[in-house]
Amino acid sequence: MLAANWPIPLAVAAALGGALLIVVGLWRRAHPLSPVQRGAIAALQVAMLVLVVILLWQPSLSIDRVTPGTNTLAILVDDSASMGFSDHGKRRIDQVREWVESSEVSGLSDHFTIELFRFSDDAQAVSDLSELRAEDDASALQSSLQQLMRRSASNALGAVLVFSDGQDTAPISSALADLSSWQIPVHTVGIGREQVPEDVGIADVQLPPSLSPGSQLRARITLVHGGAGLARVTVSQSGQLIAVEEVPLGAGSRTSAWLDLPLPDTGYHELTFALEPSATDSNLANNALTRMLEVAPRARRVLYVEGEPRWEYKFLRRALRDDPSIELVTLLRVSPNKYYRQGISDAAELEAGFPTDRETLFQYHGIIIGSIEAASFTDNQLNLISDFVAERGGGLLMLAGRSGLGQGGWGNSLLAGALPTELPPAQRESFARQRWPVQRTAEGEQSSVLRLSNAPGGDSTLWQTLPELADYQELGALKPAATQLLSVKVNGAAQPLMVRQPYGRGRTIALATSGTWRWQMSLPVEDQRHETFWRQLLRSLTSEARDAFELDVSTEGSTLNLRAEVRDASFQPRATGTVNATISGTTVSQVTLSPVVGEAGVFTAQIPLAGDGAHFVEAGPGPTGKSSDEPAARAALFHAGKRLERVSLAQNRAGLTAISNATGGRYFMPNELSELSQAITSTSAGITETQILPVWDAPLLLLLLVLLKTTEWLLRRRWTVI
Amino acid sequence: MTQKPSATTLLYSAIALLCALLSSQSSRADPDAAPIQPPVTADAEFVFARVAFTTNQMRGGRRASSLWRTDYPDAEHHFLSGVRRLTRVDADPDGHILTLNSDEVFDYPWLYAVEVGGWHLDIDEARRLREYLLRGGFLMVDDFHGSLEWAGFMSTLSRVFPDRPVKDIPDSDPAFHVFYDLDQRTQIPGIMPLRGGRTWERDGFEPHWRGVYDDDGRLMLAINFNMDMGDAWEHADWPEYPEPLTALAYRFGINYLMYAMTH
Repeated sequence: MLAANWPIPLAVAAALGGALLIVVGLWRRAHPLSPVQRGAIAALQVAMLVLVVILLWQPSLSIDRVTPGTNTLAILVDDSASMGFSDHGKRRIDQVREWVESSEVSGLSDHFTIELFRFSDDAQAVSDLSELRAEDDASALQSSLQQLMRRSASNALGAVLVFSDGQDTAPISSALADLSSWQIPVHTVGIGREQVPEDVGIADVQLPPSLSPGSQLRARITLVHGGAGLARVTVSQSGQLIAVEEVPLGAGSRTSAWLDLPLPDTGYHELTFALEPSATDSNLANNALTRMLEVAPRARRVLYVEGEPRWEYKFLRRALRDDPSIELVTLLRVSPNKYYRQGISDAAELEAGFPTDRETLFQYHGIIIGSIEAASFTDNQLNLISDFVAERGGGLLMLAGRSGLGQGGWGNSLLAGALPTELPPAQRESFARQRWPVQRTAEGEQSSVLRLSNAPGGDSTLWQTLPELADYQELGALKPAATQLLSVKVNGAAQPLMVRQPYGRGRTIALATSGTWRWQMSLPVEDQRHETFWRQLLRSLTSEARDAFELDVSTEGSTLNLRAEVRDASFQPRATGTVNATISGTTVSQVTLSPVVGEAGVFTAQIPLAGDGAHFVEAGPGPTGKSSDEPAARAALFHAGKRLERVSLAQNRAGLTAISNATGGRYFMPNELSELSQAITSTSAGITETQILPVWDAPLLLLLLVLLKTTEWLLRRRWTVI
Repeated sequence: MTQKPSATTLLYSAIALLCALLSSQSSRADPDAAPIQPPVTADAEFVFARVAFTTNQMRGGRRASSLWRTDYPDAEHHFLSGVRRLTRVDADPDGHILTLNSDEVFDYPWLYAVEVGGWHLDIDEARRLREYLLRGGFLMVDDFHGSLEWAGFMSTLSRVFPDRPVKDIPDSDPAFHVFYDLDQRTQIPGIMPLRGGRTWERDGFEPHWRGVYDDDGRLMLAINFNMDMGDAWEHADWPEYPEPLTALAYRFGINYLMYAMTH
């Protein structure tokens, strides 16, 4: 911080005033010099004046420095297995020992009391560097730093110096903000190469935890690598090869790709994704990854309300006829005062028409509204539908029709906010029976909902050869959160056909046609495109709908985390009662979940894992976690904790830099350790003292003053005015 | 004294007469060709599509080429008025005529054919009709009577479905309960036999509601044998045609339509 004996405005005023006097003085009286020459003299004289003002102003620098001997410097060394990797023939952990013992680091003891720590799962104090092993299968960098910060409450921690490759096996989303709040700088020294081009590994595979029979199975695989190339991925199920894919690797360090896989039979399956290693691959531990998949019929009930008999209704029902995962219950208005029900579970279902209470409506997982006016529903029913989507997580699909979407007044209804587009007003005739071909948007081509084939390139052909739709209805402008998946070319201009958006916990979809039935009637009876489209659309529609008892399982390090949400029939959180779980597989345990304070209806538990492998969890409300027939919920996962540490051997410089930047520290490369002392001792953290360093008495400034005056004298002599 | 015409004159006269007779035959417009309308995109959800077909049936010594036009157009006009008044179906008021030798048929998921005792479908038409019904289409056939016409109908139907049986539609079938509950099995006659004091034609004494089902139990083809619903619709505004029979014919027709649009 700059300081001075008198205020800056006064110094500026003095300099400006003096400069003005000089300029006026040179120009007012007659002078043998030309204007250019007078300008040069004026500039030199003003420069001298400014320099004199600066010297008289006596500026100085104010620096906070740690008070020697009163603060602690925590040196935190990464002791995870990745530090045992060798770069340039030397183990990383051995290099760190040398740097910590070097004079640049050991010399910091002149200003700090140095405390040494190692971290893997957590931070632990060590007495000397011989305790470092580089064998642990975890690198919890962020949580270890948080642990150190919490210690600073009892001692004056001036700074933290971290030696690490930056890979964090248990990152915390809020860690940077938390670390920043402590206002203790964390300086990081990056260990290891930033690119390890010979290592190609699998970083992650995303699979849906559960699918219904007949679904499309797609996996998202992410590979880490050191540059462009080609990776060969094999997928095995219970040791049997089911797919081989070649994944082109981009120029960066991470590449993701979709893999289309055959769906196994009903039951739990271990799917192993493996990379064929290259001859130079130095890290084979990250070449395979296993995920669990459950294939189980999980019937989702969808309520379809239609305002008039029409072909789309008939063919939609036919398309779902053989799909055990969707139970379609329909309420069709066949005459002004008569409704026809189909797919009902008993005679009483929907006997009174569309549901009027949460308990009844929330039994369904999805709602389809066809060509029926918004005015046919009461305000209560419209609010119920909104809550159904937002709170229950159900899906809402709106179909086109002469009384649907805009023409049905939905754009001005209580449900308008949930819809993905700004529908045209009811007075405008937005629905027309004109035929148009359908096409996918770029987002639609990536969406698994619209996949009609797993054959390479086959999907595009199948979409391009679909018959025209029978009709189309304008949807209006898309809302900001909406995604358009399908479009039609109306008079040469692409118009939205299928648009969806998230709404609360669920989603809403607008399909601007009631004419997909032409796909069924215009294609051979063996063609299943119409059926596939509707089955996948309704599965997607209902995929977010939560059940009254929901179970989430995850692992963090070597801990299994269970989280259950319990709701009553009206889908309100049920805070009372117990939740029990039974774990089987590699770890065997029975546990009672504890209610979470502040989150009604939420119960959690943490179970230490016995080791890597498949784990199965059954849970439910009650004493045993199992009802007499079936548990309330089941889940499975494959734990491979040791693998995380070896996913990538490259230094995560970005992660280390982010920590330093967030905390006011600095990132160093090992060859910059000589700058450590200056950076670490200049801090406002811990116990500090302020040093004042004057800058006005620098010899350079006096020399400059003499030089300016001499230059002016020489110029005047040259121009023979002296 | 009157001179006898010469042989040459007689010959020329005979030739002229023959030519006149032939031209009178050809000048009569061929109804099989004339009224087939070009494909249209109707501005309605439901279009009553009447099937025009060729026939090998002879009537009065001549091929009865216009069998399919029986009751046209009043039958569908009256029926559609009832559909529009009694249901929420968005029905085109005029109807449409098409043939089975064009893929246009796939744009009309509901078809009506009359006098099918004399219908003749070639291989291509039979294949197309089979494909149409299996994809989800529905056909209602009507107004054919007696064992001879049944044999003629089945002769063609066996080309469409060689291995699917024709069954009696049971009383419990949803087709008889989807809109109206149809418990009456009353023979709906044509106006001509009614004038003769009977409800049957030829040896078609008993009415039969029969059908062909798909593998999932859906009624694809509704066969109204020994009855004439088309006449009941056509003569809805004739005082001499009993109103209860017209009403019943409307109910059956609406049920078939509603069934086709829901199953």
